[in-house]
Amino acid sequence: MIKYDIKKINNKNIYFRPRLKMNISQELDKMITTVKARVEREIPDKGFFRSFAENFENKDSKLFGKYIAMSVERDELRDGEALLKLSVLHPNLPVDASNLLVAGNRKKILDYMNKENFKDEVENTVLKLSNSLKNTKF
Amino acid sequence: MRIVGKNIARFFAKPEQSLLVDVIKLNNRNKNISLDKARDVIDGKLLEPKLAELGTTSVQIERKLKEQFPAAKKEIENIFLNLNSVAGISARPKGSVSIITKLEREFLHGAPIKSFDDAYKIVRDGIGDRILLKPLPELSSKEIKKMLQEFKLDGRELSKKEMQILEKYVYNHPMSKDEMRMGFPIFEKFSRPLIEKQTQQAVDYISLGIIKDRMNKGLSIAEIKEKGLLSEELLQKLQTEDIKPINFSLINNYRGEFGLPTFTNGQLQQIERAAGGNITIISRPDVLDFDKYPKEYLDKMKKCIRQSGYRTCQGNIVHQNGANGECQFRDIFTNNFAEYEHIAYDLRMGKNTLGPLFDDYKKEISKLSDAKYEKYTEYLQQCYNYYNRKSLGLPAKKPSLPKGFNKILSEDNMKKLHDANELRLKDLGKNFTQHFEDVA
Repeated sequence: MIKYDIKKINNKNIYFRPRLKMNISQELDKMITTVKARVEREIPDKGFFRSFAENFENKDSKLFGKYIAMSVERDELRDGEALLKLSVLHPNLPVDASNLLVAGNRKKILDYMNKENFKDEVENTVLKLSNSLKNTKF
Repeated sequence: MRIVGKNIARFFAKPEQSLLVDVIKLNNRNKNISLDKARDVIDGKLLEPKLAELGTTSVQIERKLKEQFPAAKKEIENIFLNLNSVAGISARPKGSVSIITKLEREFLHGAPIKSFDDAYKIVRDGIGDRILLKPLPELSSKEIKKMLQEFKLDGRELSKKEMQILEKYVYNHPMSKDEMRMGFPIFEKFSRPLIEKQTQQAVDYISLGIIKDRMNKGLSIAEIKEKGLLSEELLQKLQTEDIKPINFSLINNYRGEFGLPTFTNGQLQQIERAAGGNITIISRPDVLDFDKYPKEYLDKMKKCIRQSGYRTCQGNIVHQNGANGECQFRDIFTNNFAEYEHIAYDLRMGKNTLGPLFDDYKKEISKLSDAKYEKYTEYLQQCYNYYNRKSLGLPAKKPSLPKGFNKILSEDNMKKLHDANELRLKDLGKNFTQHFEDVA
């Protein structure tokens, strides 16, 4: 049995991990599934391909951001490779905050998206990007 | 020094710039601060004693930044100053008046300030570094022709109409807004090799510095190779040169509606790869060549881009000694214009810290209707684009102030006012020492 020192547990050292609302979580699931299918279909082994993205509108007023998008950008420096990125669009300005999730060829991206904790990483990144937009002026 | 009313006095940090402080707390190096929006703000303004508390913290932050400044400056110089493409570096620690303005604004917008550390974290641009890039040599007409002949859009030849618009863009001929909208994405792709020629060295050393910083935190050469974080050429440099670490957390790629970026998309991708998800990029999604968000929504939002065409690439960094800094990359022509371009915007937003020399300019700006002000900012945007084109070696025609505007608003006059004001401030600063004055 694990024993806890109850004196050391107080409000200061209990960390509540912020979670996204259920509907955003479901939308993220849908987005991930669609992007995965498109990665499979649209990233060739070699040669030019069009970058693409999937997005949905954020309706949770607590999350700062109008749209959330997952994009697959053609790597401009390496043939047959792409960058999988997550972005949040500012609610009032035409700017977004983006974070790279993984870069590589089709297989590498798919392997990454199939990781067990991929959804958690996506959720955490959305929260991080939303926070970084709060200080943006353009 | 005599202090009237409790411990509060006015501290003159620079000529004509002062803030309220608590002298006893300042002398005792007492860093306690705790602001509560519900208790300390009335009619949208901080109560005077609390403003003095914030002033005290601002002076303390200024002093801390001054201590951190020499090492932070050296860090940036060690990375960028010896690069062939860098013309120079300017750096400064943020002053207390500027710090209190930022703290007050952020606090009123909801940022909590319960301690000195909270306040220090808000001043993300505590150390400001500017890396000034050299202009490229002017392109000859032969070189431009060759570039136009060899240019392909996403691997295909341009249609006749596309080529006509691109030529107009390249030679800086007058264009309608519709032509600009259609031609700009092509012109941007055409200009990429020039932008990269000007900034690639800086981008390479940002990427290398980021990798070195990650290596200090445990990243191995084997992982760099396996994950393809650097090109072969940069990997070679990493292993043979004395690379200095740099810790970027966020990069903001500002540009106007028809303004070229400081770093291209490919260059940002290079930095993102090196950072491996540890960096956030803030940029405009409407200039990508695919739709990331619904186009109609972005079109509606476009009116919110700052019309003056403000253009810089800036990153938030944490210096190796822990100081928060903001590192800006600009070509020297754009930088000179940016020194005074913002005065119109500042005056329009009600900031009046520019000194008496700007009074006539201010009067003219305040007389402009919204529609006329918008037209004026379009002129400023054209000035930004003019200096940018010049720095890339492209043909550039200096824009003239549109008819119907007082000459006092011309870019030439703004520069004159700015230069005269710099001299005035230099003069005022000659015999100035920081001091306290009574609060009557």
